Amino acid sequence: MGSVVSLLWPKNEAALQHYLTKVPSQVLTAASLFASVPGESVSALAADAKQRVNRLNDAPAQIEERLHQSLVLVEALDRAHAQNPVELVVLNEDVMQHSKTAALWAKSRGVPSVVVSHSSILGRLYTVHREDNGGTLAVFGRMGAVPHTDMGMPAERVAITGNPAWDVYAVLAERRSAVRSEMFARNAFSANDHVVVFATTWPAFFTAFCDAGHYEKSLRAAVRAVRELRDLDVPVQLVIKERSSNAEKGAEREAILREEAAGFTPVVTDRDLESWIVAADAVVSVDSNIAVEAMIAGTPAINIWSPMSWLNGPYFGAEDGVMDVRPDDLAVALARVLGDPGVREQLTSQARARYPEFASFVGSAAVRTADLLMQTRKPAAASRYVWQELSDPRGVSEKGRDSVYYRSPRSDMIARLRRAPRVMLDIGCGAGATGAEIKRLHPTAHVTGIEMNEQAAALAQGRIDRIVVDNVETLDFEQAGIKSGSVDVVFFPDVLEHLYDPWRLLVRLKAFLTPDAQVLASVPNVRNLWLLAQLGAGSWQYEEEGLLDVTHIRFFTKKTVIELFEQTGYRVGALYANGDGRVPEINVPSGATVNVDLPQMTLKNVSEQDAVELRTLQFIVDATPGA
Amino acid sequence: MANDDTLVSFKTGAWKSTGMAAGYAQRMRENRGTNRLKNHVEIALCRENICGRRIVDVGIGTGRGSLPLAHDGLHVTGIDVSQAMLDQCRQEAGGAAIDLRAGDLTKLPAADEEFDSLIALNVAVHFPNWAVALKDWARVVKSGGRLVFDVHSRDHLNAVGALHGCAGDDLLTPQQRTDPAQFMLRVTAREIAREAENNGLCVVALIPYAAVLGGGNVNYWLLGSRLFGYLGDRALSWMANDERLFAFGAFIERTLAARLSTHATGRFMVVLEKSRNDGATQTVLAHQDRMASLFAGVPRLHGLRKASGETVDGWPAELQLHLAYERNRTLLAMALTSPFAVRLRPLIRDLAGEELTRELYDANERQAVDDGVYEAVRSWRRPAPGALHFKGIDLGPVFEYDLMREMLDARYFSKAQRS
Repeated sequence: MGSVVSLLWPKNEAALQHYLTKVPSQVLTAASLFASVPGESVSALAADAKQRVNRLNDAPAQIEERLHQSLVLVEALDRAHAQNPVELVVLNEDVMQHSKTAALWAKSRGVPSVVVSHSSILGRLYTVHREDNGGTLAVFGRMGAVPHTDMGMPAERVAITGNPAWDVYAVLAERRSAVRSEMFARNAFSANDHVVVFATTWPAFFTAFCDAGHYEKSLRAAVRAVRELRDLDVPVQLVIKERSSNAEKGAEREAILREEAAGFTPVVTDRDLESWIVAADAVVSVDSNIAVEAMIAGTPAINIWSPMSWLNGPYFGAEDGVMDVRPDDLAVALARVLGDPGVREQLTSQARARYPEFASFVGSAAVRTADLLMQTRKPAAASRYVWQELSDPRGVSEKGRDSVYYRSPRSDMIARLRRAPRVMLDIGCGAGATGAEIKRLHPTAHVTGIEMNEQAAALAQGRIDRIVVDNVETLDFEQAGIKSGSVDVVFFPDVLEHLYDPWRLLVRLKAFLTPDAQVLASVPNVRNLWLLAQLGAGSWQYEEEGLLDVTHIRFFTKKTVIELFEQTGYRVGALYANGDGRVPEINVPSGATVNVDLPQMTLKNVSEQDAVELRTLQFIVDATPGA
Repeated sequence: MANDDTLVSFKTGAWKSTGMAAGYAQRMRENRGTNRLKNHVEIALCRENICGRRIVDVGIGTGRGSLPLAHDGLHVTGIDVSQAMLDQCRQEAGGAAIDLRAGDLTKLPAADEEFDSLIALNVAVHFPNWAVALKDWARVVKSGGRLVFDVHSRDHLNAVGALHGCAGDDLLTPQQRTDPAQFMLRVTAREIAREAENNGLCVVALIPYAAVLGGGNVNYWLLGSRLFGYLGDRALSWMANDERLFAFGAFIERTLAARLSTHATGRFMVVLEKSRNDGATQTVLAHQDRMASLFAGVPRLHGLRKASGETVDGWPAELQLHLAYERNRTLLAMALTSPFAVRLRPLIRDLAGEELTRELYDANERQAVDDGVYEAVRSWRRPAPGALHFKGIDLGPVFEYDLMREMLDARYFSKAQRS
C-alpha cells in the first residue's frame, strides 16, 4: 500500500474518498506531514532558513518563517516518500505556499500531481495564476480549461472532470420543492415570498484589476434593490450568503444593512449555500462561480456588472443564461426576473443549454475526479519486500534512524515505575530517549542501556550513563560490568517477542536483580481484533513494524505473557493494556457477553474483559522476582 | 496553380449540403453576438453603394445581402453554385419576387450588361481566383454600374506585422496558413486597384470595417489587448442585447473605421464602378496613403480631419455621447490595452478630454502595476539564486502568492485608499 499526499480542501474530499475505496493508501495531510518531522530537525531547518535568508539582502518581510515552513514540508515529504512511496499528490490550487511547495516537490521527485480546481477560472489568468507547476489540472468544464490551454498548458494535462463539490445539485435539484419548503419553514418565510440569494464578493488583491470597493458597492446594490421592491409591496426576502474570507467585514456589512435595508432584516448566513440556491427565485452574484451553480440548479442568475467584470473576463457571454446588470439597474432586473415568467424561462432555458460548458458531469464529478487520480498515480514499484529487511543490514539501520521505536521515550512505561530507580537496565534502549527521560525525572538513577542496533546506540551515547552494544540473548552480563543483585529496575520495551529464548533470558537475569526489583515489559498482543480479522480473512502479513513486525519470533496473549513470567520465576503484580486505535469500541453490557462479527468469522461470548484484551495493542507487565 | 484549382473546387463544393444552407439561414435570422452588427454593417454598405434597380447577388447563399434589397423594391437576381442554398433562399424570400439561377461565379449565367449593380457578400474571401471572377462580374454590369464586394485586408495584416516585427502572415495560426478549409483571401488596396484597371473598372471606395466584429473577423491591432481573442468576443457578444453597446459598435464600424484606410481593419468593402475614371482610383489611393502615414506616427485630431478632407464633422461629439455609457467606455478601455494604443493617447485626449482619457487608459496603468509587482515578487531572490534551492527544489516561487497580495496592497491599493 503506497501513500497519497492530499492538500485538498474539505469540499473536494469526496473525490479522495472515492479514490481510496479503489486504491487503499496511506493518506498524508499537511497536518500529519508537519507533525512527522522530529523537533530537532525542525529546529535545524529553522537555523537553515535563517542562514539562507541572510544571503539575500533584499528579502521581503516574513520570508524566513515562510521558508522554514517550506523546508519542513519538503523534509516531511522526503521522509514520508522514503518510508512509503508517495504515488500521487493531490491539491486544491497549486498557487498557495504549501500546495505549491508540494507541487514542486512532486515535480522534482517524479511523483505525479493533480490540481483540483477550487473554482472555475472563467476570465483571465493573471499574475500568480499563470504559472504551470507541472501537475495535471482537473477543471469543471470546457470553459474552465480554455484559460489554461490558452496560456500554453498542454491540452493533455487538462482534464474535464466536473466539480465534486457540485455533485450535490444532482440530488437537490430533484427535490426542489421539498428543499424550498424546508428553507422557508426554517426561516419563517411565507409561501408567497420571493427569495433572492445574494452572494458577496471577495476582493482577492492578486491583481490591480480588482475593485477594492466592490464588496460594499455590490452588497449595497443588492440590499437597496430588494428594499425598493419591498417598498412597492413585492414580497421579497433577501438571503445574503457571506464567505468566511470576509470574516473581517462584519461591521461594514452591518452598517450597510442598517443604512440600506431600512426596516427589513435580510438573512445573513455562510451555510447551506446549495440549498439556498435551489430554493431561491433568483441568485445575484458578482463575477462568481455561484452564477454557474444557479445555472446548474435551474435558478435564474443575475451578475452584477462592473468595468472589472470585463477587464478581468468577461466571465459570461450574452447567451449563457446569466443576466448582466449594472448595480443601479438591479431592482428593475429583479422585478423582471421575479415577475415575468417569460424572462425566467429565457434565462433558465439558456442556462440549461449552456451550463455543461461550465460544469460537466454534475452528479458524477467526484467519481470522474477519482478516476483521473487513478489514471495519474504512479504505483510504487515493489522496491523491497519486508523479508529482505532480515538479510539486509541497511534495513535495520534505516529503521534505527527513522523509527519511533528508537526515538521516543516510553512514557507509558515510565508512568508505571513504583519507585525512583537506582540502578536501571534498559534492554533495547534504542536512541536512549527513555533512559534520558528517566534521568531527567530521577537524576540519581544510573541507567545502562543494551542495544544491538549500532546507529541507534550511537545516538544514545551521552544521553544515558552506559551503553552496551550487543545482543542481549548472548550477552554475558557480568563481563558487561553488571553486578549481581544490583539492578532494581529493568525495562523491556517491545523486546522479548524478538528473542529466540526470552524464557532463558528472564531466568538468567534474576541473579542480577535486587530482591524487590521491578521488571517492566511491554509485549505486543496477538489476541488483537484487527489481527484476528486479518487472519480470519486469510492474511498474516508481516510488516516493517507493528504487531506483525517481521523480526518478531515469539507471540503472546494476555494469558501467555503472564505465563512467560510466572514460569520463569517472577510474580506478576499488575498488567496494563495499551489500546489499539484501529479496533472499534465493543459494547458489552455489564455482566453479559456479545458476539463480535468479523468479515469472515465470529467471536462468540465476548465478555467485557475479553473486549479489553481484543482492543489491546501491547500489554505492560509489572513483575518482581520470586514465585 | 494546381493547388489553387483544388482549393477552388473545395470551396465551390463546400456549400452544397442542405445542412450548410440551413446553418447559413439560421445565422442570417439570428442576431446573436456580433453577427447582428455584421449584418447591419454589410447590408448598409451594399445598400448605400449600389446604383440602379436591377441587382445581381453573386453567391447569394440564403439571401442575407439581397433579400433586404428585394424588400426595398429592387429587382434582385441571385446566383449560387449550390442548389441547396437557392432552395433555402427561396424559402427565406417568402413571397418576394426574386430571380434565382444556379451557376459558377466565374461563368455567371447572365447576359452582358444585364444588371445595374453586382453585390457579392463574403464570397471573394474564399476564392484565390477572385481576379478571374472579377472579369466575368464586370461583364454582366452595365456601363456606369457598380460592383460591391468584401475582402480580407492584407494591408492590415502587414501593418500589424510590422508593428510586432514580423511578416503579416506570421500573425495567422498554422492552421490558417495550411488548412484549405481555413483559407481566406487577403488582398491589398493596390492589388484591387490593379485588377480594377485590368477589367475596365475604377475604384470608388475601399471601406474598412470589422474593427469590433470579433470571431473570424480578427482585428489584429487588438492583439495583446483585453479585447482580443475569445474573451474579447465574449464582451462583444453583449451587443446582441445591449442597445447602447450595439449602437457604439455600429458607430465604430460605420463612422470611425469607415473613415480610415485598409490598414485599419481586417476587412474592407470594395466599391468599383464600370467606368474609366483613373482620377477616382487615384483619389482613393491617395486617401489610403495619407491615412496610413498618419497612423504610422502619432495621429492627432486635426491631422485626421485633414487626411480625410473634412472641415465640418459631428462624429467627435457623437463619440462623446457614446462614451457617456460605462460599458462603452469599458469596451474602448479594453481595446486601448493593445500595445499599439499608447500612440493613440494624444488622439483620444483630443477627442475625449484629459479626465476621460485617464479613465480609458486606467487599465494600462493597472496592467503596468501588475507587471511591476509580479516582477518584484520574483526579482528579490535573483541575487542569490541558490539560497532558496533546497534538496534540488527551487522554493522561490512558493512565496509569490502571498507576496503578490502583500506588495499589491502596499504599492497600489493602500496608496489608492490614502489618496
